[in-house]
Amino acid sequence: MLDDVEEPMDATDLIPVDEDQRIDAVRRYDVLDTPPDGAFDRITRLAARHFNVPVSIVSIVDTDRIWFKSHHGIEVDQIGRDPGLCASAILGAQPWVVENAAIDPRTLANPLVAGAMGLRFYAGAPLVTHDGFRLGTLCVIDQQPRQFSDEDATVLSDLADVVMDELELRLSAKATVDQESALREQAELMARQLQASLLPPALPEITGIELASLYRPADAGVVGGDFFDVFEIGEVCVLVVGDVSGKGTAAAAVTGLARHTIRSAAVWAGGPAEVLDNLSKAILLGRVGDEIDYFCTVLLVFVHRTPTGVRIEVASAGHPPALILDPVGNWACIDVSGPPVGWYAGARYVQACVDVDRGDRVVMYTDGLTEARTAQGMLGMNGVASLIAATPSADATIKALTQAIDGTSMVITDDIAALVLCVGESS
Amino acid sequence: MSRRVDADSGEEFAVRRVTTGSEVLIELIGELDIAGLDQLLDAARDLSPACNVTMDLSQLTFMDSTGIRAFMTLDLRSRSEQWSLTLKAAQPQVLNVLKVCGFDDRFKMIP
Repeated sequence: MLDDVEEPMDATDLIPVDEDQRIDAVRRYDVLDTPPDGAFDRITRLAARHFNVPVSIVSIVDTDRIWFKSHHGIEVDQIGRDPGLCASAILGAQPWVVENAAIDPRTLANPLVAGAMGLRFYAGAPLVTHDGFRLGTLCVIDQQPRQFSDEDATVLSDLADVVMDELELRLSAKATVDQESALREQAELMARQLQASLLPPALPEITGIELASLYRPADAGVVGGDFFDVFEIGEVCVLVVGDVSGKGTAAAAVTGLARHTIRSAAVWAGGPAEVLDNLSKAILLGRVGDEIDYFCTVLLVFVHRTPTGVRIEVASAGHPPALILDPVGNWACIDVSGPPVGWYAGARYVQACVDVDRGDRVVMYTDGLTEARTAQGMLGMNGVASLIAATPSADATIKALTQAIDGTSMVITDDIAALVLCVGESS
Repeated sequence: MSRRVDADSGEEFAVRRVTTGSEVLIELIGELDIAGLDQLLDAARDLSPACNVTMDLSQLTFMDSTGIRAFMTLDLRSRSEQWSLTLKAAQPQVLNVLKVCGFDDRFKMIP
C-alpha cells in the first residue's frame, strides 16, 4: 500500500470527514462573495513581503470552489476545488507545505503545477474557527522551489490566526447587529400590541356627538405614556385623556390600572371629581416612602345631553386644560385644577360645569402637543387654538393637528394624544 | 425669546443654592426637564428641620412633567423632613403648570 503514495490524490480524499458541518461553519461566517476588505489585503501583502514570494492568498474552501477573500499578486478570485491545493491544506491542523511541487508526489500531476501556472512552492496554514472547523487558508505561493523552516511555518500560522481573528470579529459584529434588529422588531411588535390593549379599538358612535382622536407615540419601539378612552354609562358619555410619567412596560402597567379604575369608578361615582378621588387612592396603594416613581395626569369629562347641546362636567388631575372653541374659532380654556394622581394621599378633586352649544368643540390633549417645538418656540395653547380655529368638525380638527404633527415645521419629542368632541346639530 | 429647534432642544439647566442661617435660597435657572431632575433634587438634600427653603423661579423659563415630579417629590420631602418650601416669582408658563397641578394648595407661592 505504501506505493500508492506515488499516485496523485483522488478528489474524494480531499474531503474532510466533518465536511457538512465545516460547510455550515463557512456559511455561518457569511464571508463568501463579499467585497474586498483592506484588513485581509494588508495581511496577504505582509505575508508576501515577509516570505519574499510573489503571491499570497486568503482562501475559503466552498463546496465546489475555492474563493479568495484576498489575493495579492494574482488576478484570480476563485478556482475549482479539485485542483486547489488549499483543499489539501485544510485537511490538517498544521501548515501544509510543498517545497518543490514538480518533484513532490502529492502535486506533480496537479494542473496548477504541470500547467501554465507553473507553481513550484506552496505553503498554506488553515484558518481554524474557535470550534475547530477549517474554513480555508492563508497561503503563500511561488513559481520557484523554496525551503520553508519550522520557524516560517509558525509565522504563517500566526498570520492565519490574525485572519481568523478578523473573521471572528466580523461574525460577532454581524451577530450583534442581527440580534439587535430582531430584538427591536420583537419589542416594537410587543409595544404595538400592548399599546392597542390600552386604547379603545374604535370610538363609539354616540348620537348627537361627533368624536375624533389621534395617538402618536414618540418612539415606535416603546409603549407611550399617553392614553385616552371613551365610553358610555347610560345616558352619560365619558371622555378620558391622560399621561403617565415615564414610558415602557412600567408606565403601561400604570396606564392599565388608571384606565380600568376610571371605567369602574365611573359606573357608580356621582361625577368626574369623585372618579379622580378614587383613582388617586388606587394608584397610591402601591406607594412606599416618599419617592415618586411615577404619577399620572388625567382630564376627565362627563358629557350630558341638553336641549341646546351638551353640558360637560370636567375634573383635572394636573392635566393641561381642555379648549372650547366655537365654529368661528373663538376659544377659551376650561380652567380646572387638581393634583396629579400619585402625589399624596387624601387628594380631593373639584369639577367645573360648562354648557357647550351645538357646533362647538371641546379639545382634550396631552402636553406632547403644546410642547411641540416650532421655529417660534413651543406651540403652546395659543398655537394649538390657531391651528384648529377654522376646522368646524371633530374630524377636521384632528386632521389639522395630524397634518401639523406630520409636517416638517414642528419637532415632536413626546407622545401625543388628542380627543375632540363636536356637538352635532341634532341631539 | 428664541429656542433652537432640535430633538433635545432647550437651554441648559442650573441650580444655585445659598444658605444664610436657617434661610435657604435655591435658584432655578434655564429649562427644567429630565436632564436637570437629579441636579434639582440633590440641591434640596441635607436640609435641617425648621429651615425655610425658598425656590426662586424667576429665571426658570420652562418645565415639563419632570418639573412636576420634582416639585411633588420636594413637597413630600419637606413634609417628612419638616422644612418649609416657598416658590417665588414663577414665570407665566411655569406658573400655569404649577396652578393646574394644584401646587398652590400645598406650598406657599409668592410673586
